[in-house]
Amino acid sequence: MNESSDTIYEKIEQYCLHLMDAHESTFFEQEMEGNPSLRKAVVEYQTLLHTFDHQQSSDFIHSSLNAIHAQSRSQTEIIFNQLKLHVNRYWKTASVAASVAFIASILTFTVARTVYKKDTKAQYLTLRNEINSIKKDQKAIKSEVADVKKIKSTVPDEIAKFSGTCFAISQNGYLVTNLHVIDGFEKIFVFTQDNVGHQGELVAADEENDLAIIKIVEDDFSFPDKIPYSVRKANPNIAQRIYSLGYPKSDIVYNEGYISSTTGFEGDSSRYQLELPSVPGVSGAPIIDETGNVIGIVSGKQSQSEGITYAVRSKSLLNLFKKLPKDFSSTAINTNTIKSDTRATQVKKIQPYVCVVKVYRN
Amino acid sequence: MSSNLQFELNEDALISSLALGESKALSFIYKTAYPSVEKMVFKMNGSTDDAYDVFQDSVTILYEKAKAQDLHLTCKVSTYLIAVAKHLWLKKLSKKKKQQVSVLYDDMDDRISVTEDIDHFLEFEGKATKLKTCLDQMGEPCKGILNAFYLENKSMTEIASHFGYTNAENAKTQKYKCLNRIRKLFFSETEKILKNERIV
Repeated sequence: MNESSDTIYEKIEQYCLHLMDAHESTFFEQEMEGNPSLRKAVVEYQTLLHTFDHQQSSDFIHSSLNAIHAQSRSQTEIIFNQLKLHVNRYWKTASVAASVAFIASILTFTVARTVYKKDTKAQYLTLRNEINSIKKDQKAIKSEVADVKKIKSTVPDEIAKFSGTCFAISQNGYLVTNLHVIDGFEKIFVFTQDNVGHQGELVAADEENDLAIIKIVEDDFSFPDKIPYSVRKANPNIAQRIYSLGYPKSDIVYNEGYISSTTGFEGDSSRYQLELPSVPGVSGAPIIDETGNVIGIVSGKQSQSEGITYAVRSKSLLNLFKKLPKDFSSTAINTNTIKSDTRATQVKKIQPYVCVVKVYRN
Repeated sequence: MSSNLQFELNEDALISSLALGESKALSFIYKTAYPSVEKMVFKMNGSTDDAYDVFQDSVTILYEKAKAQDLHLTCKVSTYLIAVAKHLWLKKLSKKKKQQVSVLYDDMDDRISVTEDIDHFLEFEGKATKLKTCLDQMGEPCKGILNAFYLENKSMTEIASHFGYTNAENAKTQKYKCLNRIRKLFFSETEKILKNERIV
């Protein structure tokens, strides 16, 4: 840089701020190429310029936001102060207004309570039977338990806390139910079709999908025959007909319906929605397709409507099988021997493998 | 109210308004993003002041990018700001504690890459601090003239009358002298720092 630094800086600045015309800037670029120290000066000038720019932007944002921030902080204070001022000035009027408002709110509350006795919001209800809350059932089960006691002394001498449905997945006593039915209870009893209670233990659980697998502890326990149905990893289709067997009362109940949505409560993709009547006690019941394959497990229903039931996909159940001990074989549950039977025959054959599960507090 | 609605529906309008530095854009951004940033910093052991600091820096990054028309967002402006603020705060935290702070990144953050923007910003923050020290070292009139021209966008005529030069041309000559001095100071400082680092 032999030229005086003033003129060269003027040039650099004009070049960097794009104040040169095309001809001038091409000429300047050529000059730069032949002069490394000029190029260095230009690069350094640009860095300085960017740094100044950055500082300017940062200053601008900081001061602008400070104004907004201060305003929003003070707004609450202003409102509070104004309120105080008004209260001071018009405290009599204010107190009258306040008491009117208070009475009005109490009135509204009372009226609203009587009008909306029921919670209008849809809620998800699990379908375990809360036996203690229903006196009638309590009595029935008391006598039932007494009956059972005569046959099998292991059943506790008390009223079951909850009951649900379970179904067999192996001949040697592995059964599936909902985790919410048995969760937190030590004593689990499975009642087979002959009304004999067998103690069971939890062997695998999937909290997320509300699934539990229980095993009957008796060594010599066995179902009369191989499982007639299969558990299939099927993709449910809307409008597909399905049926279910469960224990809402002491006898088995058959229900049929169809798949109404491939997602569950509020879009839950691990479940699907069924148009199927459901009542407490059917939690854990198998959802069976027309050819006798288990494609899901009842898990809950929408509190608002009677017909809508939610089911866990059989896929989650098949995943849970992997956690089971070696004496369980998943091949036992992939052959379907009732494929070509009529519905009534299917149900008759499935019935012995769908059981009641009851839990006891102690 | 109408500008709020407009910005909510059209983020491009928000960005171009921000690029112009319009206060309605900044108010909208403050309203939509600041509460979340504050909550996020609170959760990660920060105070209101910390939250406001990182928020200001995040908006500066957004503003600079908008001004340079270099903003190609794949998400909402507020989401981007929150992600930037989170990463800035994590950087500050790890600097404070001189150790890596392990925080679970959620999926959202991983999809928005902000590290490049943040690194660029921090580089220029460092440069700006150095520029300030250099300006302080030079003292008046250079500090005043350069600040007036480059930060306050004053014209050379205004600068001449303010600093007592007979005309704009004289002030300009003085400005170039100052520019030469600050360039030498600024870049020689870098070398000194680099040398020191090498020794240490």
